[in-house]
Amino acid sequence: MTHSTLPARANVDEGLSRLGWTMVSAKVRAGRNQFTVTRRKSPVLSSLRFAVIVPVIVGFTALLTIGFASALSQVEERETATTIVAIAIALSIISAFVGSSTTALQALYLADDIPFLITLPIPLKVLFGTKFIEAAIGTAPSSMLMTAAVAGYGLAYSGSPLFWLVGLIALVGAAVMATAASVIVVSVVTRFIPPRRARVFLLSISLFVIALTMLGWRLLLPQPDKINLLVEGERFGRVWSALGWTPAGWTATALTESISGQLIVTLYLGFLLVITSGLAIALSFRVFQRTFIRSLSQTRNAQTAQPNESITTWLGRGANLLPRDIGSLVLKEWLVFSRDLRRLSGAVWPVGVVVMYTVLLAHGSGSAFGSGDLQFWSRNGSLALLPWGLSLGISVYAYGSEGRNIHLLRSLPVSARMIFAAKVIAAFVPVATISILAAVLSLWIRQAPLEQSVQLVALLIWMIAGYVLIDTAAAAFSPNFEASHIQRTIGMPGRFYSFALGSIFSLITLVGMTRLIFFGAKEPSRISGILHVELAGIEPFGWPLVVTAAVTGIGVLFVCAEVAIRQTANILASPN
Amino acid sequence: MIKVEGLTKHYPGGAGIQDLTFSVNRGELFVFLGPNGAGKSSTIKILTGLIAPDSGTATVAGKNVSRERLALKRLIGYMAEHPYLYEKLTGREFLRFMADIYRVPKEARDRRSDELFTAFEMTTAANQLIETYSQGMRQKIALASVLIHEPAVLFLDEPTNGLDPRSARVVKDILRQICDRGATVFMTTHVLEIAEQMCDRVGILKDGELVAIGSLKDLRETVNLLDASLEQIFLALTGAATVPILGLYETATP
Repeated sequence: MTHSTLPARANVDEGLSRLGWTMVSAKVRAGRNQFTVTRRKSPVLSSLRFAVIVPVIVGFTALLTIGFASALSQVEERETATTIVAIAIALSIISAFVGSSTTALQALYLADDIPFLITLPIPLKVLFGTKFIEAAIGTAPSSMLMTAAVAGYGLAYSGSPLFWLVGLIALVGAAVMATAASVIVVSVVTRFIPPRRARVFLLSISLFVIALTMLGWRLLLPQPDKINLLVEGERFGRVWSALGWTPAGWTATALTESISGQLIVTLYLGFLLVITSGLAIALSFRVFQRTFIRSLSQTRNAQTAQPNESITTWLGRGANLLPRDIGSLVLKEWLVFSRDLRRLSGAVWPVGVVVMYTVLLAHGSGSAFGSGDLQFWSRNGSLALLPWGLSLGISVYAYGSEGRNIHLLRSLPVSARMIFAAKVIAAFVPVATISILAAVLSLWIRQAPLEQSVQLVALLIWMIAGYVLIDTAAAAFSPNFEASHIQRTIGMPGRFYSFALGSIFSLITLVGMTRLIFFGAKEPSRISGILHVELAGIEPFGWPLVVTAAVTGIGVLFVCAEVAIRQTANILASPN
Repeated sequence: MIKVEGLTKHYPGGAGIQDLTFSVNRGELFVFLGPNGAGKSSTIKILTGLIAPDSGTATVAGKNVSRERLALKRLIGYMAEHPYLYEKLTGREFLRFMADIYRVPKEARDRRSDELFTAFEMTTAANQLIETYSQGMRQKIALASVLIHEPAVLFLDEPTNGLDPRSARVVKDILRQICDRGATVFMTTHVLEIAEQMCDRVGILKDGELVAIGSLKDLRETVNLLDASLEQIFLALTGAATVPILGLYETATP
């Protein structure tokens, strides 16, 4: 064998774009293959998903666009229109940041392919580029708002081709800037907090950003409680002075100038936008480059955390109150809740909302009307809806979060009924604890009367039981055991199921509860006649209505439980 | 203890098992061998009630695997090729979870947990989260978890995967010990030396069909090689692989 010629080895520094394309196309192919498998498994469901989701997204964006176009066309002053568009763009960028921060964490640090990719001769630039694109997907939902604002503005003022070009650049630029900001925050956070624990921290940052936005909204907007676009132009001055110097302000100005035919200013601002986006990418790469390897090595640190013995003991005592087999399943769930913050990450948003809501209720006077009982319920009744959000953040992941361990459950002597009961009990306790504490705190701060407060807590317990049962049933309805991201462990049909049944349950309870309240409170004269209509000597809108609502509510829960148990049995019997 | 008659399972891809008939006695350590995709794992999944056969019948510990699944699962233990473990539980908590599911009395549960941790040399790791375990430790905790309820029949899919020689020896000794006390073990492995050292009988599967079954002595007679090792018997029955001349490394590497 001759050794005179050396084989041509790939020069890893050349063809970066080709490498990047190879990685992106591999991802696209994997997604396409996954879609093909899903379509083969359940063609009707896949088609239905497209038939529902696509029209909903397109329809929603179109409605929003029409709304913007109609509102902006009534605004007489150009500065006011520019400010309104700037507000929409700013809100869109903020929500894009919030949406992409967890996607960036997942894509850059927690993705399953990261350990594999870092063993390959892929320059960090290429890895960053492809993962940046993945992270940018998180901005898609919020870009609907910006699309609607820009398109509405263009429709209202017959935007020129230059307007639409600037609009397109602005859309991409906003997504890039929001993603770059997310990458920078994620890189800095994971430098100090192991990536596996960073999700909750990032969600807290997101909540903080939202709180700041709400505060800014109240301070800057002329009528924060009424979003009225037809106020006088000068009253938007404070908003413009806050936004004018930001990318949202340049973008809105560029769009306005393009409508006015100011080519030079438009091109200058458009160029500024492109340069800023480029700088944002470059800066985010520099931060990522400096922190990536160190942050990645921290992933292991999070895994060596020692379990807290006192929490474990208390949870064990709680589970001991249940029959042993159900108790062991419940204890397993609770231990995972207490140790795997990812499992609870879906609940961070609802908990944040609950906290904000509690604070708002405590400080505000509420929208009380009527007198006596009616005043109490009109002011505090919405507390009964707190567990809905919490349950949506905890119960709906009950099945999918098992991941491949569902195969372990399948091999154990546990019945479908037992698993469902355990999942419901496991979710009920945290949802009930947080909801009841938040409600009691709100009522205590507002010095609500004891008797009605007890009634409200009783209603709350009924709602908690209902929502947890419905959402756990939804989890059984379409679990996704393959997803690594907790919020994808339930499929779209499960989300619809949860929302639809939750709404029906809420409506039924509202009807029954309202009628019950009117037994003790003075009825509004407008509905008094209806409430006392008599048919064959019976008032159908009296006790019969309450009983019907209660029976229907229980019926809905019973059907949900039965469907869920059947679904669980199917999951346990499934060959895959 | 295990009785299989005409068991058949087809998959759309073409693999599966065809007309399997065999039995395994109480206290026997039976090893199922075969090339990749021969149908070993499918057979185990049918016998543990995880998938249904297309035709044929099978009973394990007197329970029909298709009709009495829950009762069957109470009597057996199954360890998958890639064990399923709750990463956020400690080893001890996981054993407790499994014991409670099988309703093992508390005293026995705690005693057996201690014994198993000692036997598998995992006493110091017992209170650490499973996510921190090495592959060998995961394999051992999975094996401990299927032993804790003292099942009548144990199904083990590649139980020695990832074990170092010392741990593999521990596993072999434990399995031999429990078989001597009346438990039945049905396992698959690719490590023929292990099978050769510990099994009472061997079944060899090829393309979903049982091509041979019996003790090592029986198999040697089947292939007419009286001094043959299990590897030679296996290759004689399943066919030795021939490697074509590859085009790799034709030019010199630097």
